[in-house]
Amino acid sequence: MNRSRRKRILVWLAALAFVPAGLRAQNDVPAGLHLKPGFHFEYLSRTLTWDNDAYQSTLIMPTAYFSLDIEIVRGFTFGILGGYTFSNFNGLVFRQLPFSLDYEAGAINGFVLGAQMQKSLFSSGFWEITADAQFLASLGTTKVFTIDQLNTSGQFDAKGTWMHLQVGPTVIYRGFELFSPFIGAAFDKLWGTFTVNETIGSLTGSEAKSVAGKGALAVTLGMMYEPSPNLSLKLSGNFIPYNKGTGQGLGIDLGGTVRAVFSF
Amino acid sequence: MTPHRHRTDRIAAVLAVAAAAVLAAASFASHTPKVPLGTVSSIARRGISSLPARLDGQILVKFRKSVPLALQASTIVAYRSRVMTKISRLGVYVMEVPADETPEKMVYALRQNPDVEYAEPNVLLRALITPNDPLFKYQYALSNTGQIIGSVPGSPQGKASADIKAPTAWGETKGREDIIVAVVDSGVDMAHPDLQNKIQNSGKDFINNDNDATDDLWHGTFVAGIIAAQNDNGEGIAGVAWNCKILPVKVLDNSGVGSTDQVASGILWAADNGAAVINLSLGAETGTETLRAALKYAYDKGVIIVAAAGNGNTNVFYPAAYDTYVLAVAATDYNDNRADFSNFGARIDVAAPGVRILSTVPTWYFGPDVLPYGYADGTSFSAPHVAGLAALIKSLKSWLTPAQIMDVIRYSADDVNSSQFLGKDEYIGYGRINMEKALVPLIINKPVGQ
Repeated sequence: MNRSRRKRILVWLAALAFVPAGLRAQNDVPAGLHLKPGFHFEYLSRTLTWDNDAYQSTLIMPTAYFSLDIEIVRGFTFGILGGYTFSNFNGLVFRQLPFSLDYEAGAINGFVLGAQMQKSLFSSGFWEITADAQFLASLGTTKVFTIDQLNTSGQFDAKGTWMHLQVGPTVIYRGFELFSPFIGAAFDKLWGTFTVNETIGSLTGSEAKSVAGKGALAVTLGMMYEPSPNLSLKLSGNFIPYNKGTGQGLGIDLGGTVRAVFSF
Repeated sequence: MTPHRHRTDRIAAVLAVAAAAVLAAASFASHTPKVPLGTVSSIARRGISSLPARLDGQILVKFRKSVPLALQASTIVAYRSRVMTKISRLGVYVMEVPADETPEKMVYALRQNPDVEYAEPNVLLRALITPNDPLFKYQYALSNTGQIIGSVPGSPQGKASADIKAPTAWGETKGREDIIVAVVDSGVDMAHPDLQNKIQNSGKDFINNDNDATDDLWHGTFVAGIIAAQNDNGEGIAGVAWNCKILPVKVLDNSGVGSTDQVASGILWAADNGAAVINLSLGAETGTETLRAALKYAYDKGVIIVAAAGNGNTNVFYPAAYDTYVLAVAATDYNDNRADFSNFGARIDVAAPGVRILSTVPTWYFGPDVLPYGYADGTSFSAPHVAGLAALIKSLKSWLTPAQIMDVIRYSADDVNSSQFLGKDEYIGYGRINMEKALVPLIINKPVGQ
């Protein structure tokens, strides 16, 4: 997606955040501080580009994290996130080292931290529109690997970090008693760095590779299940289309989230 | 050093250089091989510098024999797929992966199905670049399939994989035209059809003190062909450094003799005139400070220097023995055995094929009716294989220092005599060079401790 198109999406999202007051169903009456602890499991598979878009590989990142949301005023919730991820950067190739390496060694674990917010923008009948944003950052940990193909022993250590931002509106249908299906569209940006340090005999080298997720628009489909006022279960799927390349058509990256949130 | 000592050393050096060159010449085949030209079909395949591991959007699936065709078809539909093609003899379907699925997940799902014998990604294979040069099939040093090495009866047969693995490495890089290998030798036949487009310029002649380094022996032309004969031109042989160029520097006369001052001057001139790599297929039993200083000058300028160890089954000759500045190369044969003439010692760094090597000879050498190619033995012809590899590494990773490139070549060598001498030894050093390991990305799939 080119820059001007991204800009248009951001302007569109900003406009949604400033919907005329008359359209807003929720008033900003203080509701007291409502704490909403939650648990999330998220699976995301993203096509990455690197080396100035010359190459592609896939980042797979199952992530589990806890959240603590606070409803500051009615209809506006802000939360912090913390958890753990297993980031698989397989397919990255490092050619700026004395010996080039093709990373195929699987997931590297790491802590994730982040924040999220939701603001109700508009409500009419059974329909509600919210503005949602989430930011997650994987801090990464360093893992050491053996290089055993050469006549001299070697090893390299690797650390992958990534950041993921989603911002966009969600349309929720609240016509059912316990279930609330929803659909969302969001600006989606994933970027990160994978750093390796190689040591083989007297040779040493380092390479930090910047990676970026392909595609910038995520479509989310899901359903909330609220068996009681204090418990909300949410199941959703993410679809992120991207251009595979000239003449190769569209690809779709998939993700999914299972979430349980408690309210006090 | 006293004048008398200096003169003695110089005479010794001249004699030894002559001896080394003659030794190499003595083993040179007196007749060109009778090679049928034009019978080799063009099988060149263009390289892909980097490949994804598997083909997007496709997987390979085979059902168990007991599963009826109708059930196979309905199963494929049930997975929201369709058959793109079928390899009937193997009973393998090439199945399309739905746009919202990945091949990995599809394979995983199908493997859970008891009707499926196996499901796997449609893995992409790396092109092995094979040049269309008709004599390439005799260049076991570059690609040894266990072929007969020559067309005359009684020609020896090689052992498969006793080679430097050039075709796979060419898939990663064929080198850059601006990476120049100086052949500091007897000159080069610049009119040779397999070399004429690979010569940087007419070079420098330190024997006749002019700017025309034409070969009037054969040795330098032979070395140049191994390093960078023109590939994929439907002519003759293939050079190791596909796209790199040759800078001829003549320091040996028509009997294969050159003095220390001539060789040193040649090294300095090459270093000052753009050489990234210098090949020295020459040597003497004695070292000199002059030669060492010239090597240091070139090395400090960032030039990688490769030298032949010598052919006397004795201690490593100089300049190969100047350990810090020079990569000393011993010889192996078509079975990956050490050549019995190859010099030895702790200063041997690596080995490369040096027995029954096919390369270019001057067009005048055998006369007009014979192809200008021949076979020869000697560490003189091992060193150019290493020089070619050094040029390819430099092409791919220009930021590496000579010391680092020397270590890449050392560490990537195959320890082909490990059953006798495990690790670095004084016969083949770290081992026979392996271009694939030196150039193609190593696949990392093993954490420490596994």
